Amino acid sequence: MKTPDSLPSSASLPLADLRRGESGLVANLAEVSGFDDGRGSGAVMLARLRDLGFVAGARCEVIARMWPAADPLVVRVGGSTFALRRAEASAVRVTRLEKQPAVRTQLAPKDTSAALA
Amino acid sequence: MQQILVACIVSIALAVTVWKLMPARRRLQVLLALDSRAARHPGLSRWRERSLKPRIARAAGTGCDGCAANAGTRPHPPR
Amino acid sequence: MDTAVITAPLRIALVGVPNCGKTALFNRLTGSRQKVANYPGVTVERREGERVAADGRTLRVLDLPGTYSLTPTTLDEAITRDVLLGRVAAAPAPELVVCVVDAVHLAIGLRLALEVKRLGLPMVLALNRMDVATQRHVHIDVARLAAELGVPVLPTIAVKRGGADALIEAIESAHWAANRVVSAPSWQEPSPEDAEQTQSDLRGVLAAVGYSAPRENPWFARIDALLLHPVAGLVVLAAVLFVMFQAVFSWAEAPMDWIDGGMARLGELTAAHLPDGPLTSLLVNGVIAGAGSVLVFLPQILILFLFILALEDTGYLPRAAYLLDRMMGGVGLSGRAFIPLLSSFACAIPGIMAARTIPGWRDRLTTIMIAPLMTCSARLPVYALLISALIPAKAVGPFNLQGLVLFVLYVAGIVAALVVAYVMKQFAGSRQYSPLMLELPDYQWPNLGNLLLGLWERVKIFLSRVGGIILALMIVLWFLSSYPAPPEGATGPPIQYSFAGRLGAMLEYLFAPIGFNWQISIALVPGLAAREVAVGALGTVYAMSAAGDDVAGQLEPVIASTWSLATACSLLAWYVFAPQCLSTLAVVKRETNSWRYPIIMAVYLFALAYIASFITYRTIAAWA
Repeated sequence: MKTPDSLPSSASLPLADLRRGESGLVANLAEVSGFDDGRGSGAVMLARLRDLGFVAGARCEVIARMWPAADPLVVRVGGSTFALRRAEASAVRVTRLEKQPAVRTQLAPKDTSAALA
Repeated sequence: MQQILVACIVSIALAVTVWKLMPARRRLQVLLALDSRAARHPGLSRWRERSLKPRIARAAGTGCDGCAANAGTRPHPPR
Repeated sequence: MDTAVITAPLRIALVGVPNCGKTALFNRLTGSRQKVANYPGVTVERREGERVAADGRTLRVLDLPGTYSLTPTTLDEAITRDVLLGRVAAAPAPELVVCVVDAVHLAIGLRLALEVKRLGLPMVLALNRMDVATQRHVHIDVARLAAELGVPVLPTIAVKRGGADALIEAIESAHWAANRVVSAPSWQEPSPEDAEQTQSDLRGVLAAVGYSAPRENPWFARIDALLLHPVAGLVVLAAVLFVMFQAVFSWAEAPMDWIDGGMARLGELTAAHLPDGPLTSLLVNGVIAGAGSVLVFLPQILILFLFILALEDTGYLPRAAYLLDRMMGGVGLSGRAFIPLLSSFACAIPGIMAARTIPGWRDRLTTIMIAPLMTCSARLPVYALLISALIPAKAVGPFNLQGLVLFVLYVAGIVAALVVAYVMKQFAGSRQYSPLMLELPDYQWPNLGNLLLGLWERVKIFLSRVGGIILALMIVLWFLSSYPAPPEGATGPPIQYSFAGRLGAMLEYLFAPIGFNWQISIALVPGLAAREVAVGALGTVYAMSAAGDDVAGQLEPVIASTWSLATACSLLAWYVFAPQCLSTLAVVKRETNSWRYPIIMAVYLFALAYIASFITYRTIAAWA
């Protein structure tokens, strides 16, 4: 039986601010200063983040953070694992998910009972 | 007698050294020139097909000597 | 007319995201013995292979660099896109695209497949690693996937023999030859709406085929908790590297002694059985002493590569890149520079080419300029020779002193590279942001077959270098060292009167301040062709210097007894920096498309080498 993903807290925060072990649901991607050098590379980076799986509704989990400032950090999204710099991760805004028993479904909101059987 | 042998070996070594140290483009030019010369002698056609042409293909490809970036292009029979 | 169409080779291109097993599949299709890479950016050259189909046609297979999207962020991704669009002069657009998708990470691969499909080229999907997917409880309805996409979908297991048979059968069907594409596909950069559309198409397909994200392997999580830890992770990394260098010395001792002894006996036998004369001298002093002294180092190189290849296979290296990214960012390097720089430990040339995976010209250039400072495997014979000759094999605590010194030399190269990168950063002016966005692939056990193949390839490369350029140079050097022969009644070893000897005497003026004797000065000249050649050259030069009929003793004891510690350390310092490799400079010219950068590189590296040698020599000579 599918348990719905827990009630996300309403505020959205940059992915970079999640602590190790925390998960979030991607809300949107936002431009971050310092990303763009005036030649549109900011948009390219955002497009690339989307292509890697950081789309609205995707669940991501922070697996590791570098000391001292989470630069870079390791995030699992859509079944793949990526190392991102703080600036890139800050472009991804997420809503924090409270801890739940393992929910494996991410992109396809399908009934998981068949797979569990 | 030994002198002659030594002279041969040294000349070959010199030729190999010069060849290996030549820039890739120059090597390709030499191979192509050699190929057009050999084309005029039908007796050499077998040598051309077997060793010269693949060598040209390789030289035109990666052009990197002595390292793992060399790609082998051998037609592979179906298994 | 039809037969002409069918007999022309069919152009096939392999496309996929990094780490999907594309290169393994390429090997399976073409039988070529290429290293299977599982971190992004190793396939930077277009790799072509050929296959003869069952009906006799030639299939030309192109392995394209891995890319996450047709909108490129790095040079090699741009290459992939341009080849697919037929924009590359040397490669017309492929006639069949095989899109390789990792079944375990279906979403990210399928997204690219949807983009590629939109190009309109004939396409086939190879669904790779279905075996792993099943283990991880990922179920994919293959038939449904084919129906949704409208292209044939063939499951493959690239690493297993016969694992690509279904794919091969599909490719070889005459169907593709008959429907050849005439015009090159067109493409525009997708707008945000297009991207949204692709994403929603993707979600639809994933739902239809029943894909759910793979069950996480708890072991991976535990291992990552350690290896990605900011402190423990770095400690482990340092430990791994340290063990590597210790092993290079201790494990290699026995086989090296064996080869050394064999060479010595060969020399004695040759001298005993052949009459005195130039040929004997050529063989004993030129070939055996020269090329032989380089051959001795094969075991050490193999051990080094055993570690490098094993680490690559496990998927550890991108994690090391993550750990070091902060440090590298501090000196202005992209974290993505780690892997090209690491490749440079084997040989700077593929490392420099791998810099194509770095977005941003400035970062790429910096990486290229410092790559030669990474201690490449060709320096190893030089280091090993000098360390064995002049550093005693003592134990310092649990560590071997010789291994320790080797480690220090490697660290010196790295530190120098970081300093140079920092200096370049100061000159660079405003920097564009360089992203990391590096995928960390799943852990896997190193594949023994791949390891052995990789090592065998290394053996072949090493032997062909020794038997090729090194042997040729040693023979030429022998010639220059033997002629002109010394006049009657001359004292001193004959080599001093030869061309080489006179050249050495001249060079000695240049190198005396840093403690190089004339033998070293001579050896450095052919040593420009390749670093190991200096060892061979020293072997030949010292063999020729042996007065009278003595068969030259082995190189190491001679050096140990005649060189001062200061000279040896000075030569070591020289070798950390000096660009004793013309091929590297040639590749830099090719990659940067100008003479300026290789010339700058040569000048700055030689200058650094001279300064470092000078300081080392004067310091140790004053001290000892």
